[in-house]
Amino acid sequence: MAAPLFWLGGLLVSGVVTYLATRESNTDSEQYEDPTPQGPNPASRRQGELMLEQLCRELNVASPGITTLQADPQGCYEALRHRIEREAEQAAAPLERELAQLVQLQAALAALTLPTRGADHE
Amino acid sequence: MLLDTLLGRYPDLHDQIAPLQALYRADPRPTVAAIGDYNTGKSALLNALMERDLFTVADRRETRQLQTGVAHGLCWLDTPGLNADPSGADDMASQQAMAQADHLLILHALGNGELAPDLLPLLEEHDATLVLTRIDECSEEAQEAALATILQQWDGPLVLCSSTRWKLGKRVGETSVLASSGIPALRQQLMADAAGWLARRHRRFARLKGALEQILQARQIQLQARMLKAQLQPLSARENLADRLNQIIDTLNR
Repeated sequence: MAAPLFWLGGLLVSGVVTYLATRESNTDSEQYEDPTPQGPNPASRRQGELMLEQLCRELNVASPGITTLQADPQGCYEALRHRIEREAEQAAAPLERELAQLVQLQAALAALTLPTRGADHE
Repeated sequence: MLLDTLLGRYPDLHDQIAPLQALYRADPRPTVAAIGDYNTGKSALLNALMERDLFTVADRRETRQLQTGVAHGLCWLDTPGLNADPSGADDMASQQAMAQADHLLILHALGNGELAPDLLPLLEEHDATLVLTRIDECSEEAQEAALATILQQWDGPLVLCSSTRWKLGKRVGETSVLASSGIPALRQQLMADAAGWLARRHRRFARLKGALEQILQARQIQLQARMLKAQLQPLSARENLADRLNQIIDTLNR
């Protein structure tokens, strides 16, 4: 009677040990398969990246990058707005200069008349 | 100078600015230019009209650039012969003279018969007189035949001149010989007509200037439109910047 009980007890201990060993192994495996379980979806990240690049291309400004955008959206907005304004100023400046010169030339042309008789070379 | 600055800034407006430059640089006196083929006696005719031996006369191609003389209150331009210089430089000098002159004397040696085709547009497009020269160098029959042909081509102002006869008349002091040279009559005619030339030159200058001003006005409007576009573009970009950044952040957080 004692022998079967001994064998049954041994089997129980062995089963518990095996179970514990298996559970530990499964936990390791799950961590290996997904090392960043708390980050954004890579597909969304890529899509967001592309959208930001597209926006910056349209605005003709350098992209701040999605990390900067996520870290400080308000600061990023302000910086982009500032850059847009600066770009616009830079684009308009030569046109403004050209227009000012043209207006000046037009005024001078309006006042231009043929020279009247100068020194007599006869 | 303003017109040079304009041309430097808008080289595509050369055709509008160059005639203005020519008029602006022209002598302020009424100006006559002698134009014609090589060896038609342009320099000799002008010397006779000016009563001064200013321009060199030769049987070879002597005049190679625009030359100016002043006499009897007029400015006289001597030009190189047309179609004589393969490089085209001589013809450019003639073009310059035509742009500056108020009146053209288009010379044609009577002995050469009919007018060359390139002379007719010059006569038709400018205030011009056809001067038939070297009349002493052909017989009366040849003169009559040539004159008949030329009259079929041109029915505008025409005179026959001989600078040789004028020189002879001067040398011998014979008024009738001088008169028969045609030179005194031509000079008188030019001096009488010249009274209205400057007013016409001013009107021409004003007309050309007006056309240029219109083109520049159109450019100014175009430039203003481009500037407005450049100023409005960032406004619309700025308007939806916040929305688009929010969309991107939402996408990243999905």
